[in-house]
Amino acid sequence: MLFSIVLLITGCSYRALYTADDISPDVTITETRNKIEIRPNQPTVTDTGLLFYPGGLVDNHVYNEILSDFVGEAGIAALITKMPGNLAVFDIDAGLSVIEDYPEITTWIIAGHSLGGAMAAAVVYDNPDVFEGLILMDSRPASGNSLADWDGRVLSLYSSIEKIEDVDSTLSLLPPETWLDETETDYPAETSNYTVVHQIDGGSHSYFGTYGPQDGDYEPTITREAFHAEVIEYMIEFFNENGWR
Amino acid sequence: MKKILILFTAITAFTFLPALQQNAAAEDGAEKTEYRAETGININNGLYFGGGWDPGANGGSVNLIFSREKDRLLLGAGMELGMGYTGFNLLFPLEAGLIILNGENLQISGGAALMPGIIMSRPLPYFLFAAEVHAQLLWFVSDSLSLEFSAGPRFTLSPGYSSNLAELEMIDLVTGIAAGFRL
Repeated sequence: MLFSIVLLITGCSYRALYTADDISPDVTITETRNKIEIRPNQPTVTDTGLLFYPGGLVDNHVYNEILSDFVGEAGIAALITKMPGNLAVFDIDAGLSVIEDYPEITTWIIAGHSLGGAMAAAVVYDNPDVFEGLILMDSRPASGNSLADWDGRVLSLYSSIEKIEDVDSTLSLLPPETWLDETETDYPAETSNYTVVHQIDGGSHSYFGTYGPQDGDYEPTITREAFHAEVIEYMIEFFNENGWR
Repeated sequence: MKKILILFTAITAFTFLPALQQNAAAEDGAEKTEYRAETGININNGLYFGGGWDPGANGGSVNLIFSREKDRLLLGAGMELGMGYTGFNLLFPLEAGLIILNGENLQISGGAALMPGIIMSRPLPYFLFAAEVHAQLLWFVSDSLSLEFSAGPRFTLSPGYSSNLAELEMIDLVTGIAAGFRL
């Protein structure tokens, strides 16, 4: 019963704030019990997919808006893995059963926000050959899941300068990093694994989705729309640079 | 939706008719009233989601129910804290049931429950409603303790969630185990 009371106090998830009008008309969204599928109406590539792990205690629909914009622009399908209790820690491998339904997709990039990013990194750690890329949004691998030697590519995005306080310990768990500033898109020349890091100016943690403000959020100085545009720009560049699109 | 209601009505009738017949045939007599507190866990086995057949694990719950038994009639009310793909939720079951078989150490009953509640979200919760029919087996371990096993289909919907985000209508086969304490 004590557990129930604690959950009552702490277990509320953030609601998604978008409306149907905010969703890109260039995509089709279908939903099943355990996943949300966002498909481009005009796919650019059909053998590449993005698997997404939501952050902790946020409704799994809060990423529909930003991922619809990404899918519409990139022409690549995205799958949001629904998590029990909206906590990815309860079913870390949930995404692996989701991607089994898409045998036509042979190149998978996994992404995650906050707790979802840490769990996505854990999936990569346990299944290094399944994914070719990892996108972290205000997130990091757990200390026991170092991906420093993983033969894949990582894009690490930070919502604001306040979120990169502990970045050195985070980057020690990832392949060698290159920082990209606001306008720079010159990727490392290495053909081996690498991490590209980009910090957005003036965003907030909840801006990666459409919800909030979240407890502990910094006061944003840019709009959510501008933030989403910058995230999508860097995500698409990440796909382009690696030949996934 | 029409098919779901027909299925729900049919299952309810199937559950209650034998008990009603048995109850009508039973001799009238003053039976004592008993009160129990029951606490247990439920596993939700998903069958239907949104627009179609979608089997698979669909979360679960812990519950605390206070029940009253008199003249083959069971009434109960309590609280259920669940976890699913919409996050955590809180339901307040109101149950009614009929005892079909009342043995020395065993009791079999059929029942139905209406469960208003909420999806725990912020800044505001979503209204959630579930309806369930179930069969229940009680094994009286001692005078004061019973073990309870139950199973039955549950229909859940949230109009607010459906209109704001995505259609939320689902049917689960809920299986449960609980411990009951005579009060």
